[in-house]
Amino acid sequence: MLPRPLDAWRGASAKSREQWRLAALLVAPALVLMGIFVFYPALQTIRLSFYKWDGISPEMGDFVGFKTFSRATDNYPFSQAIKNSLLWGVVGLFVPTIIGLVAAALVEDTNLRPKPLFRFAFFVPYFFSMAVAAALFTRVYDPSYGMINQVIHALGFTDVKPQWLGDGRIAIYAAMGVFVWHETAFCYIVFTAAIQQIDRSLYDAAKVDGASEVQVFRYITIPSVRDVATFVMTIMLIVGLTPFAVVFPLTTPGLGGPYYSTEILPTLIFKKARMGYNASEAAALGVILLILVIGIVSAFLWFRERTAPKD
Amino acid sequence: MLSTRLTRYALYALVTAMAIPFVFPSLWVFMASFSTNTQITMDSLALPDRLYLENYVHAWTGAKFSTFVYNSLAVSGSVTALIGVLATMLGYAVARLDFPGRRLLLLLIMMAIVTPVFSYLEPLTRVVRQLGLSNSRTAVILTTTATFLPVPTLLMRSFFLTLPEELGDAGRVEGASEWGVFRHIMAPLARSGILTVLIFAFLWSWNDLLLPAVFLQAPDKYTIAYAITTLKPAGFRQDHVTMFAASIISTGPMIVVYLLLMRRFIAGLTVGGLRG
Repeated sequence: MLPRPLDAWRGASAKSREQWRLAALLVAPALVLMGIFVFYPALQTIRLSFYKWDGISPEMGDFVGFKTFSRATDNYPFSQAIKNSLLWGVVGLFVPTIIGLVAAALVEDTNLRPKPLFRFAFFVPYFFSMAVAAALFTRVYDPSYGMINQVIHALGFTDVKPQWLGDGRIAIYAAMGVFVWHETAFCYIVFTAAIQQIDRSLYDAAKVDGASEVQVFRYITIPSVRDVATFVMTIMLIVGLTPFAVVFPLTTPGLGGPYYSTEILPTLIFKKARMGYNASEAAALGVILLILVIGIVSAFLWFRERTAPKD
Repeated sequence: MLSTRLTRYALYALVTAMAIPFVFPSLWVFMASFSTNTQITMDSLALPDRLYLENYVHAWTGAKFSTFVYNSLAVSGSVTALIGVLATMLGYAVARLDFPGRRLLLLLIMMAIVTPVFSYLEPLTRVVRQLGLSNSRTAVILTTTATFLPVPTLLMRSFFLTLPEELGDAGRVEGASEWGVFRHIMAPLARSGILTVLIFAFLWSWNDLLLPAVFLQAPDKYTIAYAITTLKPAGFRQDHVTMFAASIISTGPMIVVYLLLMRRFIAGLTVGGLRG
């Protein structure tokens, strides 16, 4: 039997009673704020997804069970959004993380000079926010004057002019390119910090034993940054599953276009929630996104836990 | 000797080749921000014939970026102050205080981290409307604080966990109250953690797009990041240079952080990463 709160209070020492009082004081403001703006709306989403409601009429409609879910999911934009989100999650998990780790190791674990210059070079994209970076890439990707096509032209390929954002077959990869460009800088800087904290004597010992640079990377650097890598990959997974700040600036007006090719769940939800006439479908998509993110992140963390080396 | 020199050259070549895709677009934007729209449309890789500093003047006054910077400073400043205080308080409570429901609270905070704002976006807009906060910077400040709070809270928790409990006990022996232990012993020792949280909170809210895009309708309330994304669909008289200049202006806080606090920023990041 658990002790009832009051009994626990009576049985508690003066120290723990004082701690409870302080805890109440410290926790209350944050809990109220999060209650209003996080927990209450999150619970509302779950409730709302089972009802029929446009979000405008004063009364909420009838309970319809999973009907809203089937209406929200049984269409082309949704299947595009799921496909893109999953692909984007995979890209997020591996691409910026691996480039960031390799770049950090190449700069920190070699006698490359001057290090501050190279560190700056890999960090540069992070001076811009993701949204601003994406807005800038509408110009970088421009078919006529954009940087990329100008470089292609300058290299002599005068008749190659990809419509990076206008061509539905490549727009999603162009968008992921902006994401990788920006987020690699984050991964790079965190891995740099982690590598700098590795005990140098490990490297010296490996050198004495005649290990090659690649072996040092494989058997010392990678295992040493394992926990940080889990942290970075988790962040990239979450950001990769919800890259709204990339898609919104790149494809506005015509969010998610051309022809749903860059649609992701957040853009669908944004359109339904902000236009404000399809509250229950926005909620149903919200629940799906929630399950998707929590499911994938937990599965990833479980996998990392399971494959962790035993000490 | 020759082979080591060769691998050295190969190393430089490899790292430089890897860095080019990251540096070149930024350099292009920086260069173009001093150019003219005509020059960019004709040959965007060419250097401008002189530095057109008037692009920045126009962005600041004509395109009203002084207003957007002011809005961003107001929003980010408030969010930073709120998060600094709330994350320190909440982080200390879940790290160092023994109270019923602590594990549940920790679980709630963890769940809030993995719950994307998008999943409850529609009910959130309704809450804001019911509170009469539609189209206000206050709505952006409160929602940003509430949704971002869990991450800095865990960061503060991990900082407090690294502090030795004996320090608190020593204070208690000396007659300090629990509040005194928190306020005068533990919180001052967690200064570097608090600083990390403040930097994170400022950058996060400065850079955020979603919540300003959802809650701000009147252009005179836009934050800088949101304002830049709205500059884009300008129809056929596209004003590239203003947008480039505005983007360079938007990097201000990040440059300050990079120059002044890089070492500390890195240290804070890793502690959070290892233990958070």
